[in-house]
Amino acid sequence: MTLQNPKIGKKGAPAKIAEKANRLRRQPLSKKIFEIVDENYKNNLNKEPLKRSAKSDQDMDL
Amino acid sequence: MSQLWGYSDLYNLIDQRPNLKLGMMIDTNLLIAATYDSDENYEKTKEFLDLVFENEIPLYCNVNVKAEFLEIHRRIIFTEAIVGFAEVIEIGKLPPTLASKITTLNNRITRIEKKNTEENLNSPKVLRLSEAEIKDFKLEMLRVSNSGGENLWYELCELRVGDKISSLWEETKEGFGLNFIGTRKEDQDNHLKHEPDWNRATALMEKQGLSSADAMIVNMFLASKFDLLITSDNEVAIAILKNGNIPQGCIVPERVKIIIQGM
Repeated sequence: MTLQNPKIGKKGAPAKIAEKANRLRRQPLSKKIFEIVDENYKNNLNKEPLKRSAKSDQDMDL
Repeated sequence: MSQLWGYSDLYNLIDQRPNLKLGMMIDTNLLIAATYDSDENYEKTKEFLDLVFENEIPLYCNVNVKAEFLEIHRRIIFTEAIVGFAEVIEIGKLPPTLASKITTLNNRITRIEKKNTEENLNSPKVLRLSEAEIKDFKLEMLRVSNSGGENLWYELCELRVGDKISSLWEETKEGFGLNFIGTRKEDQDNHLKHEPDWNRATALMEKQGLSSADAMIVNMFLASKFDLLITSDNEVAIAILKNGNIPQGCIVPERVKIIIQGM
């Protein structure tokens, strides 16, 4: 088996890469995420149908 | 039948097998174990690979390893993004279906944390959502949007995923010095005994119940001239033990070796 200059890994690479991956994964949530949730919540509140009286319209007519 | 070794056998194997200096094949799970610090094999794998690099042993893999690596890290990143969201969000502001899923998720996390504390494990268990669970969250998060048309899912993707998966792969490929073998003539001359064919890979899926990606990796290794495959996956190691012939074999973390020997 003849090899033509295969690449060799660098000592310390696993720890360095794992640490960077960890840092990237643990970024705090952005302000925008909370803003989207808030706006969606307020829009849905406004869309909710008006609550009806337990008494029907017909009762009112009586 | 092939042989099985633990990480601690590497020094002896280097002395006994000069062929080892020409390279070893590496499985996806080992790359995950070495790049994800919550993996139960992280510490041992990191030390083992540093030893491999010190001894200037090149590592080889095929394209299936790349595809699987991207897929598993994608699941890890999305799980942590969703868990991070679940930990801080005011559940009362979420639509009922998403709120219910987040509550269930928080309960699962509490159970896992409680179990980890009770069992005092060296490597605590971590939650990893399945593909179906991630899709469920995606569908519900797509429905949470603002008047500008921006939605929760894409914002979470942009923030937490962005180009992180591809950059993680590039750094791993460079840092670990990964060499690729395929079916080019040059690869066949240098690294393969014969061309890895689909029939053999399919037989591994049927007889061993391997996933297609694992079957392609095992099949490539069995067709290769390399003596050893490094893996932390029980299934992959067992498939090689059952299908390979000496001198080929597997190196696994000691805890995996004990599990396989106890079967």
